[in-house]
Amino acid sequence: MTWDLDAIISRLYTKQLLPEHTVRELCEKVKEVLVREGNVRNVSPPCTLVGDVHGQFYDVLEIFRIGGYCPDTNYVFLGDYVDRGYYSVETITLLACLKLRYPDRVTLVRGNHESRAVTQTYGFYTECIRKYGNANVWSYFTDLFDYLVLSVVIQDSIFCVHGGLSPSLHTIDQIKVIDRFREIPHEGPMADLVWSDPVSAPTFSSVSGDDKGDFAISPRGAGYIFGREVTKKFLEVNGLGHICRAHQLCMEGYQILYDDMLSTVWSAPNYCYRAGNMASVLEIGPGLERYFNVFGPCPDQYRETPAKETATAAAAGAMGTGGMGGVAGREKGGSLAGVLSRDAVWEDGDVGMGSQAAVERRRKMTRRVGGMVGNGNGGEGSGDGVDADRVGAGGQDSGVVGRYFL
Amino acid sequence: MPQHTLITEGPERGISIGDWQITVRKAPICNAPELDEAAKRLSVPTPEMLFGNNHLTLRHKTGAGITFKAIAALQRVDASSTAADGIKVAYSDHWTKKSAAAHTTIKDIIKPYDWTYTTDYIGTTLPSEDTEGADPLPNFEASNEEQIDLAHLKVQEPILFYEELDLFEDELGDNGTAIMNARVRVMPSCLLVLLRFFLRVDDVLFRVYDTRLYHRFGQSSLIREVIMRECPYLLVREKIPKPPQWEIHKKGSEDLSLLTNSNWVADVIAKASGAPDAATPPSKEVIANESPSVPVKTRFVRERLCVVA
Repeated sequence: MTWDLDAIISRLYTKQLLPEHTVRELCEKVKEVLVREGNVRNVSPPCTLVGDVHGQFYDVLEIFRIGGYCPDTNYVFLGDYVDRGYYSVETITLLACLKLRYPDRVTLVRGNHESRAVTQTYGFYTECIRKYGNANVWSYFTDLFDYLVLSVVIQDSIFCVHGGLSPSLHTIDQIKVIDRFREIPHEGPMADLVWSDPVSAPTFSSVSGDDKGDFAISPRGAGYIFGREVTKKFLEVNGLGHICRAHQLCMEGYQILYDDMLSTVWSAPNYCYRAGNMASVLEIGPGLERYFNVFGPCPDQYRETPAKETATAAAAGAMGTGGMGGVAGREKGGSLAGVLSRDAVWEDGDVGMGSQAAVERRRKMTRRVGGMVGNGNGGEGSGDGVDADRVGAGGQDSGVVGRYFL
Repeated sequence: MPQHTLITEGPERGISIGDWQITVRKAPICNAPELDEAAKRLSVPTPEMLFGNNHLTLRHKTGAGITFKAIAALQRVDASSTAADGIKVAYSDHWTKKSAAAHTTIKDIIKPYDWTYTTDYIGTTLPSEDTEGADPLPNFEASNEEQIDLAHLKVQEPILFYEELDLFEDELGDNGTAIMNARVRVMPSCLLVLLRFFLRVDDVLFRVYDTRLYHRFGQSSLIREVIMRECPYLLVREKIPKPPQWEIHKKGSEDLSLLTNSNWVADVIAKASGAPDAATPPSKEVIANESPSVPVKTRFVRERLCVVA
């Protein structure tokens, strides 16, 4: 079977799902690309760095609207594509396809959530089961995660990683020799790169008696935090100018530490649909100038709630056009209708939720929890959907739920 | 039925009902300057999500009342030198052994604090503005005379006002969750507040600390019941419904996401301790029984605040 990747991508932009067997093939193909990439990938500016997106698909679309589409913009994604948001599957499917289509214009770095253990608790696993009825897609993607690169260096100057530095890694060359094709271990340099955090002044100055900024052991009993000295030394030893990492939520969407030696970029606005925070992407100019392009949650007119989507998909299905939920679908509906009808690869949009009964069930769920959605910043709808999924997932087992809590 | 009016005042929402006013403020997490300010007032690092501008406040017309705020809750987190000795993440031993080589060069140890953000915060009482009154600073006092009327709360009266808000949350470096949030519902006959601290440390333990406030309109007191429960992680994990037979052989066939649902976990722990649900106070035997055969540790306090002399 030949793949019309462009057609697939344009449909993924409308938030449709790929059939299970297509996901398997996709993951195999992307692995073939990734296996050729080193642990430390060199990227030339201009490029745009994206921090954690956590399955907030509509906000990922917002990033493309703001930062430009592939391949016009050279993107470096710094990991944590899945978990917590409602659309981890759609998000990682789109990013994987973009990687396959534009391997030199898209870089996917591994985050601590690109792991089997973490995704089993934080949503991606559950979402795969719910949308596909089994765990196969989850295992295809988590196998793919083992191939993602660990870090990026932009023009021998900016080091990019998901978490931070490691006491066992002094040089970039040491990162290059890590055996990365495996599950993220609990300890060691690979774990540190995706897990460790810099000590930020407001967080720790009141706690740490010593702020010179060497590595320190987390009070949790595992993992490191690092400070100014470590950062400075790493930059000096490797002849670099700046470290950019993701991994930590910040209200402003970014944070700059240690006299601009290190910065955090965070790209999930209104994280978990209730933090009310801003997000940003870090745009690196041809001369390595850095600009944080800050944005808020995707406007409501560009998104639909999960319940509405399901309903729309079912309606579209009834008219013989296949599942075409989502606002982007409406925007581009005209040009995509042809793709939809001629392309046999595609199945109904939301595999697990296609039936009328399922739609009805979802509607009820949404109604029942309707009164308790909303969040700190602008109330209902300003997140990537409504809270229906989260509340419905377990609330039904606990007797009195929602507004009638006990 | 007492008169009521809904209140919307800038970022605050609420209801005025009878002699009571209930207000809620829901705002985004603290920004950098606000975090700096918070850090000065706290002896532990600020959690990942600090909703420092949020509050839930109940005020009687005398001014007496109670408010729930994040900073006050976090001020009760243990920052003593032994605070970090209590709980370590599940793989800590393994990690410490494996990372020993790297440790030899590391001299800095972060000042210990209870990184689980466990807090016994049960609200901040507000002084009465009524200077004629004998006691300007009302206090809850232990009392078993009245208790929260759960049967009455299970009657589905219309809800005049409902709100839920977060005070803080930390994902413990993806080793679990520590979250404190509050919910309130106001019905024509009564009101109920639930402040909950929920802690999950993966493969280690759960804690559910519930503080409920109940007032029957027309009666003189505000009742507070605090139920603190703790149990091993596995006890709850074992209660997750098993996947269907035909899925069991597949890799990673266990869905652990229920463990992120505090309602579900709270009920599971309550049942394991002998109570039918999370809201039902434990029996005296359960509290008294500290034997290791009962895996759930429980503490219970019932108090009341007289708002009308």
